[in-house]
Amino acid sequence: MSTTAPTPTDTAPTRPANAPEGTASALTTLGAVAWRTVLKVFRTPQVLGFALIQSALFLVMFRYVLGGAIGVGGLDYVDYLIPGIVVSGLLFTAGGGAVAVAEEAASGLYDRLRSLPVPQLAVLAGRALADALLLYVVALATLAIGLAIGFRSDADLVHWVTVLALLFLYATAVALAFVWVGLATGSAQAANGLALLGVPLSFLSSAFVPIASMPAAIQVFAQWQPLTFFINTWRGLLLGDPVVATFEHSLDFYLVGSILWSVGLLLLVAPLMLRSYRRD
Amino acid sequence: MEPMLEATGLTKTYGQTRALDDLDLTVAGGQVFALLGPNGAGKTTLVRTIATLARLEKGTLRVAGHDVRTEGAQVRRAIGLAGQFAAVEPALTGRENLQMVARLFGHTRRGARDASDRVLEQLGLTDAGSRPVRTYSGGMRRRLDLGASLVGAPRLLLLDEPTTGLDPRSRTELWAALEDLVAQGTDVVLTTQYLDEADRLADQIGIIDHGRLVAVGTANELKSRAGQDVLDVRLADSADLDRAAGLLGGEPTIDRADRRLTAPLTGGATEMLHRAGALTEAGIAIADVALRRPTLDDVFLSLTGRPTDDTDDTDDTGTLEESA
Repeated sequence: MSTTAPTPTDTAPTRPANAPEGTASALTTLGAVAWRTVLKVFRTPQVLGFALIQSALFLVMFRYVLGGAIGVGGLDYVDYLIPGIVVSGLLFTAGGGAVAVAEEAASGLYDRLRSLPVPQLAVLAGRALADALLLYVVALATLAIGLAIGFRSDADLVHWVTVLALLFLYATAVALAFVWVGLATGSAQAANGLALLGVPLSFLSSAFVPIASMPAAIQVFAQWQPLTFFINTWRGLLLGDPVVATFEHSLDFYLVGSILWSVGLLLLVAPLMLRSYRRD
Repeated sequence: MEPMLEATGLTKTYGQTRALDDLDLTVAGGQVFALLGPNGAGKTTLVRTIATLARLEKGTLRVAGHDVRTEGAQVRRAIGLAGQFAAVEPALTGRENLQMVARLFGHTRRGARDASDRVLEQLGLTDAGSRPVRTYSGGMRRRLDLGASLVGAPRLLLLDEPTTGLDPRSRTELWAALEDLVAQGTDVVLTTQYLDEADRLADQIGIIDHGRLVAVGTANELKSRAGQDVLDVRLADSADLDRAAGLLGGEPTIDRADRRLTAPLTGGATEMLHRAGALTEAGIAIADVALRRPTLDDVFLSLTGRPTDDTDDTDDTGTLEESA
C-alpha cells in the first residue's frame, strides 16, 4: 500500500510577519487620516477646481454685475466685497467636505477606523484638519483673485497675520461642523442639501450689502450671526477707521465675538460629532 | 485553547426589531467559523458587537479573552474587520490604501510599507498595487478591502458577507485567498447567506435566525441532523403536486416553481422505488426522481422553516407559475 505519510503541518501557525511594532499614537492617527484626505482631494482635481471657479464667479458677479447698484458709503464696492466673499465663500466650499464624509461613512470607512486600536478623536480631528486646510487654500486663492481685480488694503503685517489666523480658526470650526453634518446625515444628498443653507446665511449677513439697508427684523439676525462678526473683523483690520466708523460696534467687539463664535462652535460640535461617529 | 469568542445572552434591539435575542455562542480558536442566516437574521449585528461598533444591551461577550464592554481597546487590537462594502478610497492606489490602515494598526512607516507589499502579494494584487483603486474591478476592491483588515496581522478576522454582490469568478478568487490565509493560521469569523460558501470555507457553522443561534456544528454534523437521505421527485405537471405530496408521505416540502417535492427518507433505494411507484400507480407522471444526501439547504429549511435565499416574501417565480 502507499505509505505516503499524512502531510505534516508545516509548523504550528506562528504569528504572521505583519504583526505591527506598536500602536498608533494620536498624532500618527491624525496625520495618517489627514494625509489620506489631502491626497484624495488633490487626486480629484475637480473638487478644488469647482470650488475655485465658484468663488471666482461669485466675485465677478458681485464686483461687476451687482456691485454698481449697491451703495456702501464712501467705500469702493470691491473693497467692501472681498472680505465678505472670502469668508462666506469658504462656507459654500465646506459642503463638499460633508458630502465626502457621508460617502465615506456609507462605504464603511468609519466602521473600519472604529474597529482599529487608535484614539478615535484623532481620526475625526485628522479629517477635520485636512478639510480646514483645503478650505483655507480656497479662501486664500479667492483673496488672491480679489487682489487681482482691485482689492486694496494698506493694513500692516500684524493686521494681516491676525486676519489670516482668524480665517484658519474659522475654517477649522466650519470644517468640524461639516464633518459632523456628514456623519449625522449619513447620506451625500442630505449633506449636500444641508450645506446649501450656507447660501441664505451669507446673504443674511454683512457679506454683500450693508446690514442697515435690511428690514429691522432681519437686521437683528444679521448683526448677531457669526458670518457678520468674521466679515466685519476682516473689514476693520484690513480697511481701517473709515469702515470701523460705519459699524454698529467697535472692532474689538467683532474680533472677540469672532473668536467666541469659533470656540463656541468647536465646543458645541465636537461632542455631537463624536456621538454621531459612535452611533451603532 | 482559550475560546476566540464567548458570548452569553447577547441581546440588542433596534426599535421594534430584536436583532440579537439572548444569543449564546462559543467559538474555539484555530478555525473558520461561519454564521449562516438569511437577511435580517442578526448576522451583521453580531459582527458589529464583536468589532465593538455596536453596544450590547444585555449579555457578555469576550473576544480573544477580552470583554467588549470594558476592554474595547484590547479587542480592537486583536481583530481585523472587513465589512459588507469595500471601505477603500478610489482616488488612492491600492498600496496607499493599505499603508494608511497599516499605520493605524501601529506599524512604523517602513513596517507599513513592508506589510502592505506582503499583503498585496498574498492577494495577487502586486501588479495593481500602484494603480488608483478606481480602476479596480469589484472583486479586486473586495480583495483589497480584505487586505486592509490583514495588514495588522489580527488574531481574528471578521468578514461580513465577504462575497455578496460578486460575480462567480471573483467569488472563487476571494475564497482561494481566504483559504490561503486560513492555512497561515488566521482565525476567521464570517457571515454569509450562501450555503456553498459556508460549506467550502468553514470548519464550523452556526445557523442564526431571528437573532438566535438555532444550530452549531460542522457541515456534516448539520447535514446528518437534517435527517437521513432526501428523496427528490420532480413532476411533469404542477397540477399533480398536492395529490402527489399526500401519496409520497413524510410531509414533503413543495417547490411549485420547480414542480419538485422533497422529503426525508429512510430505507435507501428500495424505499425510494416503492414510494415513487405509488405515484405512477396513481397516474402521476414523474419527470425526475433522485435520492441524495441532504444539503445545508435542507438543514436550513428544517431548522428555520424557510430557505436561505428567501426572506419573508413568497417566491416570485412560484406565484407566476401558479397563476399561469
